[in-house]
Amino acid sequence: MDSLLTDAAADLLDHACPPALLRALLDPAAAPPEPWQRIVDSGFLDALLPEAEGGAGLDLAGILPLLLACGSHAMPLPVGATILARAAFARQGLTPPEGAITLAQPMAAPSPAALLPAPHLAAQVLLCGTEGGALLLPAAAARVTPLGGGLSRLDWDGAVAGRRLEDGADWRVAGAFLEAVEMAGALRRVLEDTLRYAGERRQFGRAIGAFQAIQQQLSVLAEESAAGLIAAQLAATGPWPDPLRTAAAKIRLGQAAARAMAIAHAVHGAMGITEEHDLHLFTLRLQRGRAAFGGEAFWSERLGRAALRETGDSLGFVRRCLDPVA
Amino acid sequence: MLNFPDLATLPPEAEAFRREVRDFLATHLPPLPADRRARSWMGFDAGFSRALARQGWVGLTLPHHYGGAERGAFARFVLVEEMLAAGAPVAAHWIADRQSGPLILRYGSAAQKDFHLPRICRAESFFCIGMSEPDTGSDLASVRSRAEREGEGWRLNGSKVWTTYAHHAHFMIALVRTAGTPADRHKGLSQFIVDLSLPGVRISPIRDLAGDAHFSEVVFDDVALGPEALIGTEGEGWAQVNAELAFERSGPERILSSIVLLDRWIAWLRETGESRHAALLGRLMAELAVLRAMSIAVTARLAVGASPVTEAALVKDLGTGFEQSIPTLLTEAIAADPATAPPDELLRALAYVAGMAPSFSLRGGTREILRGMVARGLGLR
Repeated sequence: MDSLLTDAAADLLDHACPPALLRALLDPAAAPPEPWQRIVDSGFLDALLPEAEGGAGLDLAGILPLLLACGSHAMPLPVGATILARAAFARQGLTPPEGAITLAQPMAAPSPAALLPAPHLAAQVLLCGTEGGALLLPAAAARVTPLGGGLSRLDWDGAVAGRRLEDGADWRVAGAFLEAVEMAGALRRVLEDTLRYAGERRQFGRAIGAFQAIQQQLSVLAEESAAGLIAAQLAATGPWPDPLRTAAAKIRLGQAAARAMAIAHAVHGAMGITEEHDLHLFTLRLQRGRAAFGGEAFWSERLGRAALRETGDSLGFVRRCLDPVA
Repeated sequence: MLNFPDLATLPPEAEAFRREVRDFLATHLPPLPADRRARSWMGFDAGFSRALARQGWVGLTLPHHYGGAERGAFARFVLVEEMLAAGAPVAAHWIADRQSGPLILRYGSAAQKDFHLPRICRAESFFCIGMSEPDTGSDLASVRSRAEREGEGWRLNGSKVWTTYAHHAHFMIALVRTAGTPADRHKGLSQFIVDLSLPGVRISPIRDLAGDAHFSEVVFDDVALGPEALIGTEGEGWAQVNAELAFERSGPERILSSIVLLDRWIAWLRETGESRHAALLGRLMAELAVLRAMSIAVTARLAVGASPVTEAALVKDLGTGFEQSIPTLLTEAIAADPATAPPDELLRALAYVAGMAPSFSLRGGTREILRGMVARGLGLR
C-alpha cells in the first residue's frame, strides 16, 4: 500500500477524530460538527471522482488506507459510504447530496426502515435497492428507536419523498465491502492494543504476554489480523466493489472477527466489556460489521453458488475470480 | 509488531510458465482416480519424476551449472500449485528438489555439489530427511544418533523414524550428534549425507492408517561414512537444519493438501445438481483465496531475497488448519443425507485425507512450534 496515503489518512483521522472526540461523537445530544468538517476540508470525500471533476482520481486500492484507518479509529462518521455515494451520483451526472451520507440495508417493512449505527451523524441515508440502485432519504425525517449495541432502527413515513439513484449497482455489495475493509482496520488495531496490554499487565510476577498459553493465543490473533488485511486488499481493487471479491472478504473478515474478539477479550481479562475501555468500541464495530449487509452465511451461499456455476477446479475458480490484482 | 507483507501478484512470466506446466501435466500425468491423486506430495512415481526432470523442472531453483532450471520463487510457486492441484505424484523428487538440493547448494563443498546436484536434477538421486527419532520430534535438539570420528571418516550409530520414503530414497541428510550429549542441546550437532545403500543401514517401512507405507524407520548399525559425508560445518547442524526447515514453509503445499478431495466433492455436487452445501463451498473458497494471496505475498518476499521466516510460519499455521478442516467439514456434508450414494472414488479420497490430515500440522513444524515463532515475531519472546 502507498505509505504516503496511509500516513495522510491516519494523520487526518488522528486530528479529525482523536479518542476524546470519538466518544463525544457517539452522543446524539452533543456530537461536535468539527470532525466532519475536517474530513470535508481534506478533500478525501471526492477521492473516487476523476481529477477533471475535482476529485483525486483514485480507485478502491487508493482509498483502502483511509478505509482501514476508519476501521482502526472505530470511526463513526460514514466516510467510506459518503465517498462511494458521491462518486455514484457524480457518475450519473447528478449533483452529490450535501453532508454525510450513510449506507443502509433496508428492513422488510411497509414503509422505508433500516438499522443504523449513530444515525445522528448522517445527513442522508442511502437505502440499498433490492433490484439495484438505491433510495436517498433525509436522516432527520426518520423516527429513531435505539436498539442497543450502538444500533438504532430508523422508520420513515411512507410519504417522505426520497431521491432515487438509478445506477443499477448492487449497493449491498458496496455496503459489505466497506464493512469488511473497516473490520480489517479494526482487527489490526485490536491486535496492537491487545499486544500492548499483554506486555503491560503483570500477573504471577510477570507480564501475561510472557506466558506460553497467552503467546499462542496472540499468535492466532495476529494470524487472523494478517488474513483480514490480505482479504481487504483482495477486495479493494478496481473502480467499484466486485461482488465475489467482496463476498470472500466479508466471509473471511467475519470469521476473523469472531475468532479474534474471543482472544482479545480473554487476554484483556474481559475488561473490554466496560464502556470506558476502547476494546468495547472495537467489539461493537466488529460485531456490527459481521452482521451488516449480509453475514458470512449470506455471502458464503452467494460465493458457493458462483463456484458451482463454473466448471473446472477450485483453484481455477480462485484464479479467475479472486486472484490478487496489481 | 509483525507487519505481514502487502498483497503481491504473480508476474506475467510466472503465468506464462503455468501454461507450460499445464501442457506438461496434460501429457505426462498418468490417469489416476481422486483417491490416488489425493496423496499429492505423498504420491511416489519415479517415472513421473524422471519425466519432469527431462523437462528440466527438477532442481527448479538450482543453477544451470548443475543442471537446474535456475528459476525463481514465483516459478516454484506456480509449478507446485499446478502439480498439487492436479494431484501429480511428486514424492520421489520432492524432498531433494525443495529441501536437500538447496541445502547442498548452500552448505555443500564443491565436490558434494558436483556429485549430488546433477543427480538430483536428473531425478536419479532421491533424498529423505533424517530429523525425527523415536524420542525426538519437535524437540529436535535432543537427537541421540551419533557419528564418531574414525580414521578419516565417521562411524554412525542410532536410528531415525517417520522418515518419508526412506525405503525408496538413495540418500538421507541426517542430523546427528558429533559431540557432547543430548543435554548439550543444539551444540555438537552436525549434518551428514548418508548413502542408504551402505552396509549397516536397515530400513523398515511403517504402515499408516490409510494402508500406505510412506514412512520408515531407519537404523544405523556401525555405518562407516567417508569424510565427504559431512555437509557444512561440524557442529553447525542446528543452524543448517533451521535454514533447511525455512525452505519448506508457506508454499502452496501448506494449503493444497486436501484440494483433490475438495475438487472431487465439488464435481459430485455439480453432477447431482445439489446446492444445499453452497454456503460451505463458498466459505472454503473465501479461505482458499485469502490463503493463496498470503502465500503469494510471502513468495514475493522470497523473490527479493528476504527471509520471511515468521510470515511463513504464520501462513503455514493458517494453511494447515484449512487443509485439516476440509475432511472434517466434508465428512459432515457428505453424510448430511444418508439416503444419497456418494461415488466410491469420493469416499476413498475422503477416507485417505481424513486419515492423514493429523499429519498436516505436524510435518515441517507443529502448530505449537509455529505459533511460538509467530509470538517471537510479535516480540513476545
